[in-house]
Amino acid sequence: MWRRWEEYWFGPVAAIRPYLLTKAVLILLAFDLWMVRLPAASTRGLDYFNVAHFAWLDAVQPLPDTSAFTGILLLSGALALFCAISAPSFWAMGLLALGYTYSWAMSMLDGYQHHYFLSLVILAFLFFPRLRARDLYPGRGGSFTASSTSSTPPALRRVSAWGYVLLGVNIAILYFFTAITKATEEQFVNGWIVRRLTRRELATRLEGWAALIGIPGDALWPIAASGTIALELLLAAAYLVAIKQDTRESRRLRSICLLAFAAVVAFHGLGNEMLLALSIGWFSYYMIALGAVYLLPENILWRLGWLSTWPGLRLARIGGAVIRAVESRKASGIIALPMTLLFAGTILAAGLSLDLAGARAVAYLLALVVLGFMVIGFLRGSHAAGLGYSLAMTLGVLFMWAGITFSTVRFEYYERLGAAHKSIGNLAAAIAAYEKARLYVPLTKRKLLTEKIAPESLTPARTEESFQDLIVGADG
Amino acid sequence: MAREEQRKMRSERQSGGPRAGATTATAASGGKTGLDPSPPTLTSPDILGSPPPGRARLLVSIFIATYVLWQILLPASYYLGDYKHDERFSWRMFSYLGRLQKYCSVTVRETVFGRDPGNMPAEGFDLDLVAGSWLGLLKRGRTAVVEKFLKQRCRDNPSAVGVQLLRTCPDPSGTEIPSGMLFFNCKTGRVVKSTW
Repeated sequence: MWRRWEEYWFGPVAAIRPYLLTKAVLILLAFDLWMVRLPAASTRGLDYFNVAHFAWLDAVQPLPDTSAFTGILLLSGALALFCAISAPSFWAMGLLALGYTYSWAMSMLDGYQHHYFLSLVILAFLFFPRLRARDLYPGRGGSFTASSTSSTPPALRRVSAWGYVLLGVNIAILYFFTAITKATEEQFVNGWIVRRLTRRELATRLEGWAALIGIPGDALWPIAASGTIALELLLAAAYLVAIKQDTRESRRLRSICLLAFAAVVAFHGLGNEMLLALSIGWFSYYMIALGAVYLLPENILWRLGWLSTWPGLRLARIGGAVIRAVESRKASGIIALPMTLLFAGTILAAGLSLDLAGARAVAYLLALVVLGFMVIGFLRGSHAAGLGYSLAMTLGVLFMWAGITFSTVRFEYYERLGAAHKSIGNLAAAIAAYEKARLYVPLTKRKLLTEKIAPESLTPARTEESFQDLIVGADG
Repeated sequence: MAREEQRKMRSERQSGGPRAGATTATAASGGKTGLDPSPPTLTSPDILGSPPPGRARLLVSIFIATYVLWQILLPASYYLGDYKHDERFSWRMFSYLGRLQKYCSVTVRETVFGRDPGNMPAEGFDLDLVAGSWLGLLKRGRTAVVEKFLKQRCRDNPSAVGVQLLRTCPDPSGTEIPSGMLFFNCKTGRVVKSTW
């Protein structure tokens, strides 16, 4: 019994699985925080009222406001990307787990269960083995030391990763309970909910197609509902056994895993994202990424990893000379100081130009962290690791800047703020927010903004002339 | 020989020190610990991360068992408990209850000293304005939100002796039925719930 237990939790899995999973989820998470969750942050705190998810948190936290919430989202995203780019320490990942969990736990206004689920995923990452691309693909040009060269074929690389197994079991529990919810609700079993969730035009069309093959409209939805429950139970079972697919030469097991992956794509990709009218953010994409890593055969993942790690390893080879120069005592101070200042300056410039509440504080904090890496390097007499981390942090912030700058995030952020102020009668603040939104208005939304700030809806707050300026500007 | 050294170094790096590395290397190769993770077809797997050694593995096992139990009991407690409004942490995505709650409505009445209880929205306070983005959670009947909201109403209106929230929800046929009342006594802090 004990032996089986140990084999299940501590037995080897293909090293590429936990490696790819960490990278994929953290990259998704960073952009999810900046692109999907950030726009809603602008209205947080306007009610001067808050209830946290946990009573103890309510007792210790101050009333969350826009700056604090925006700052936490920016910071958690930067930390997620930093962890994705570097091989993060337990503490960096722990900080991310705390920051991310606090971002939803601070207020019941965020009631998405997948935010709670992602906290569990990051918690599991804390216990994943710390793997680097050069450990998985030695001799591909990223190594600076002789110790990482090995002739072992990548396909034989295994890792004991109980955190990875634990996450797989956690996903199985999620699928199981979500199936139980559906199976125990009459309105789901009889198809009422599936019918309501399906896009209206599509539902009518599907009923028409079903009628062609002799299935009456009222029978289609119970079939779809039962199929969903069966599929979720299949996925729960598949996640429990998929963990063993790298150690058991079983064709049946591989077939189950492949079938389950097809089910994941059909359910989350085709179903949730295309057929149903759901508002669940990027949850489907996380589940597809998780499904790919847990369920696909390892040879596919090794190839995917080979492709995705190539730019990083290539960069590491190019930067090798610089790192070696930094590692040599003579050059360490000469190179480390200006490079650190360059990194800190880049972070400050990017952060300060974001024009979002809380972004300034985040920029100063991260610049200080980078300076902290250098100080630690001086104390330890080696700057290589510190510079690597500083580079990762700078890249994280640059991606954050690019993601926010080249998208509609800031427009949505200020537009929501304007709408919230308008709804509570705070017209001056609404106009100020809409003016900000105008600065970032995407071409496709110019007409919409013009309608929202139409003079007749806001006239008490400003003169007709200045409204005209605003509208002309929005029309551009 | 050189390769053996490389493997040892890597094992040490992963497990945090030479001692742990030595122990775990044994575990990984199926030695003393009885753990044999190497499948028969993979004769020489290059283990990059090893299981925790000896007692640490026992502690990790206890953590795993506790965590899995917690993850099972937390959603299961929803089905075992009486309070059904709160579906958080129970993986009840797209439940009927969740959908139904969206269409509930709430009314807040403040009992003011020396006056009959009045329906405050009728007296000029707009619940949309007062509750803002929290109105949705009041409709969903989240007890913590409702209680705190009523407390806040007491603070904002010193002449109020009690605040009551009435909640009605549509049944499957669409008929509005009362589905909860919560009264907060501003003076004593006592909460009275009915069919909540």
